[in-house]
Amino acid sequence: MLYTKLYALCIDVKIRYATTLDIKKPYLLEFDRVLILYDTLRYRYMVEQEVLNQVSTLMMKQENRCPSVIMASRELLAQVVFLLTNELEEKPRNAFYMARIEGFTYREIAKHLDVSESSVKQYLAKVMIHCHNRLYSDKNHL
Amino acid sequence: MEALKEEATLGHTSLEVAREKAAYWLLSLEDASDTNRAILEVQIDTWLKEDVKHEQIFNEMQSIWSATSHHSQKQSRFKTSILNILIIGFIAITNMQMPWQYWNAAYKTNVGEIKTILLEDGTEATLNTNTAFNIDFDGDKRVVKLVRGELLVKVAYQENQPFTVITPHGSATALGTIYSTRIQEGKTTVKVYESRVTVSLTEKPEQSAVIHSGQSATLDKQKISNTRALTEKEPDWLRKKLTFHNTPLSEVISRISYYRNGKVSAKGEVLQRDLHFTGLLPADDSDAALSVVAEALGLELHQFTDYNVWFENSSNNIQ
Repeated sequence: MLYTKLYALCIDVKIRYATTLDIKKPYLLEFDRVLILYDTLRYRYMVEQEVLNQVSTLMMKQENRCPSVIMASRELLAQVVFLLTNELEEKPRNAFYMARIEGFTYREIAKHLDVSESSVKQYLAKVMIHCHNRLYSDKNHL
Repeated sequence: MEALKEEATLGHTSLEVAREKAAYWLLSLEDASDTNRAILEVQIDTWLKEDVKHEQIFNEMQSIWSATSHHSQKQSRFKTSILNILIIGFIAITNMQMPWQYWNAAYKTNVGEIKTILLEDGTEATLNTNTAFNIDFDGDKRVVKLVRGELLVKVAYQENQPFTVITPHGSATALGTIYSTRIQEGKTTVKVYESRVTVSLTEKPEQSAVIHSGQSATLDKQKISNTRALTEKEPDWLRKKLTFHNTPLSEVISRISYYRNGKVSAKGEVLQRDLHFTGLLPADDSDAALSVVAEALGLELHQFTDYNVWFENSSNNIQ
């Protein structure tokens, strides 16, 4: 499920930023080919992991880039993060949406979800830890 | 060797601990009052200096957090597609939607935002201002549930897999299409720009009609109303423009309101003058749009914060 959405997202990014996001271009072509050749679960997992790694790599090399590329990669990261939140339970996910999309304070979120403010913080931490775990997998920290 | 040593000191579990700590610091900082903030910053600084990895993880967390900020969402440009094209527009309710449906929706835009995304089946979907929808694709059919706003889709043709947009009032189905969906009070409007689309009512599924390109139809709970010919080849908002041809000021104001948070109005004496506006306004910059209208009609624009804006007759140009 995540893999198909990531795939759609990358094509979307490819269409819109092909000219600015040069580091993605050759990689995405490769990505298309991989999908056609090996449409099995194992390869899907590999491709998914590869996309996530690629996104985190893109975020790391921000120096010496023009603002449009930085904006494009930021947007890509945001979309990937929102996709990743689908892997979590409803409450952490909704807390995160309220905090980031609606711009609610912890207190407002606590009221809406009918939980304590410290639970809201725990939910948000859960989302952040999960996304960090998925994006920056252990090997980046060797 | 250096790297290996580091890995030993910061193993798998300590990475998890560092992650938790970084998330905790970040979220505390977000919430801190001015007095707490200074103390917190010192604490964080100490923690960051403990280990290079701490700083790295904290920075990565920060980039995740800041990238998802609602201020940073960039608007995308619309791209034409090479697929079979047909466009439907829907108009349905904006007032009685449940915020939960909005928060839970998979795809959404803020007020004043217009965005194009690619769905997993290859369909291109453009969301107008303040729009939210969910998708439900399985092997046999492709279903989009519009929660609010207006959606235009260019449906990728797939044999035996009809594409359907569902609103509280009815549904519109086609095989290979591009269409947009918009929700207004008590009704859904379907506009077809190419090919044809079948519409039917939610509560009376036996009532259906075929809408051909260049026509539109309105669905409410009871009936499918008469089709109206379209004057445009595609909706103007697709290009982030709002077009008006000799349009009454009240209609211009109500259209701009969809793209702006807060209230836009005109004083009674302005509305009495029965002013009409002709021109092209930006959909993604309501401030600019309002000042263009004011200038063209010789009106004055007043505001009390960004959320309450109104037109008044110009004081040095009394008619």
